[in-house]
Amino acid sequence: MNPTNAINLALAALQAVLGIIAEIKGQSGVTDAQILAQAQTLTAGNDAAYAQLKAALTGATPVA
Amino acid sequence: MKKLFPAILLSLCLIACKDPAGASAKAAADIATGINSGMQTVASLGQSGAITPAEEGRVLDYLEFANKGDEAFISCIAAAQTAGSKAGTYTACATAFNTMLNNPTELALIKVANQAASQTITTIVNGVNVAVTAIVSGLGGA
Repeated sequence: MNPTNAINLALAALQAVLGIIAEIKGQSGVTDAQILAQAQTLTAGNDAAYAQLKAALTGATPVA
Repeated sequence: MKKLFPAILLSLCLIACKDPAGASAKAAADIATGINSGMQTVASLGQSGAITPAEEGRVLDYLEFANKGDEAFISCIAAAQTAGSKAGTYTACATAFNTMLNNPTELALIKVANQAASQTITTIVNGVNVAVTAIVSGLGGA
């Protein structure tokens, strides 16, 4: 177990709450569309990470 | 602590109800970040031998399932914006995501034998669930 990662996970959950507050306070300075685009990039990155990790488990090379 | 949680939910509603699109988009991004951290943690658990390769594969499958749910949430948010952000549409998006995450068949994937690793994985999954539940509540949902 990596304590740093565990803490990061807990913080990520809290970010969903704190991020909403920051959004309303206008501290983020970005548009909703930009945030949504960022979210899409992050989920696409997760798809790629999943493919790589699964490939590593089976010894296969992930398809790009 | 018992008073703090309802206070947070009330604050979320007061905040998220004003800008449901922005709040939903921000939550989707934060959840994606949490899922990524979860995948890396699960990989490290596998590398350390705390969980078997088969367990690692199944937990990764759940996290990818959650990621697909986040992608569907994002598509739903975008569609709601295109449709003119009618009242309740963002809540419906978040509620659908929440329902998906609690699929018993998928949740069965996260069970691992090692007790300490199990707690870590539960923390990961709970982190995603708490974030989704928070945005549902913040948008005024159940």
